[in-house]
Amino acid sequence: MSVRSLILAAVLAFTPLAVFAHSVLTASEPGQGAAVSAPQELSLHFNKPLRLVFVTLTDIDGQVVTLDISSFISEPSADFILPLPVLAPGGWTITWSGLGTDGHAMREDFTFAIVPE
Amino acid sequence: MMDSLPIIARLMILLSATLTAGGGLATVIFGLPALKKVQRFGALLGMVSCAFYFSSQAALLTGRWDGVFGPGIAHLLWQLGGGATLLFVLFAFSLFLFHHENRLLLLGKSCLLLLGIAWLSHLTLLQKPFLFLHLLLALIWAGVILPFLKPMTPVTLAQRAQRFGRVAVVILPVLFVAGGTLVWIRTDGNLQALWGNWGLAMTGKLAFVMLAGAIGLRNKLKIVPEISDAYDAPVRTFRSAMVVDALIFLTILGFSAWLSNNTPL
Repeated sequence: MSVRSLILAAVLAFTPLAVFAHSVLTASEPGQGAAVSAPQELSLHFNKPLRLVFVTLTDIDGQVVTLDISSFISEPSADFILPLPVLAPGGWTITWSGLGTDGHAMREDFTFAIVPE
Repeated sequence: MMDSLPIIARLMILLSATLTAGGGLATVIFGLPALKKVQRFGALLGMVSCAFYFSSQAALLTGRWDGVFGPGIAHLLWQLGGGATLLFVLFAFSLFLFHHENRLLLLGKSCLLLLGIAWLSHLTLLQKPFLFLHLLLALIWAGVILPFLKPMTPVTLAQRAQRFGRVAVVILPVLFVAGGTLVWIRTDGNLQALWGNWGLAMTGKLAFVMLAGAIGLRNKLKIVPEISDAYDAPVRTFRSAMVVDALIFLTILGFSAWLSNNTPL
């Protein structure tokens, strides 16, 4: 009995894994490492719905621009489109944080660059 | 650094649960000496850990150490981040501040605590019972370690160790099956996940569980049968093995905290 259980457990434990329990950012525009000119909006696409809590943009001098996402906090979604203010050319870091529908808090960032038109 | 805060908080909660529910259950099931001070410390640590977990979620969301004081953050986390469940877990920890010998009462508050922790996890309703069973058995197993380090006569030590050895034969397979089923339900048949960090951490955890199992098997088959009043060496070896076990279980708890905070990729 116990030998069978051990074999079953070993098989199960090493069985492949795929379901994503937490939300993951799967695509964005501008994307990670992209070089764009004068973006009008930021789009974020997640594999599972979440509630966005904060989205900030930080330039290479450390100046932070906080995007207004107050209209998004109440309802979870997998897709967000946020209007962007006019940003100066140079490197920018986008940091987003959110709460998954399972209550999991997440925070990630990625960079992109704005090139002069 | 802030990404690590919820993992540290989860590790603290699991460690506290081991000291309180695990230690308490192990002492009544196997007749081991009670660790009143350790349980009270575990209860306090657990309560602090719950508060720390809440504020670590806020810190992660806001990117600020004092994020929990940010406008609307505590309210948001209370509503959507499991605030009520966390308060329930904190309450369950507080029950361990009071020591008593009643087995049913101890079993009841241990189950309350583990139910709360299982509910706090980001798992689905179907997965939570398996996590509860997995936690219950794992913490009973880990809970025997510190009581076995308390002074007792070699004969008593041998008797209690034999009793644990008989139960461990049942605990270990059920623990594996519950954990394996949890992984099975949580995942969905994609080999790629095993090559990611989550799969590596799961393999690491499994390796340490196997190591603890091997030490337990050695104790059961070789060390414990040699324990007697006349010969001191096996007792020393057994206690040394318990110290090693304590370090192994701490590592396992670390893996578990990391795994529960991350997803298979």
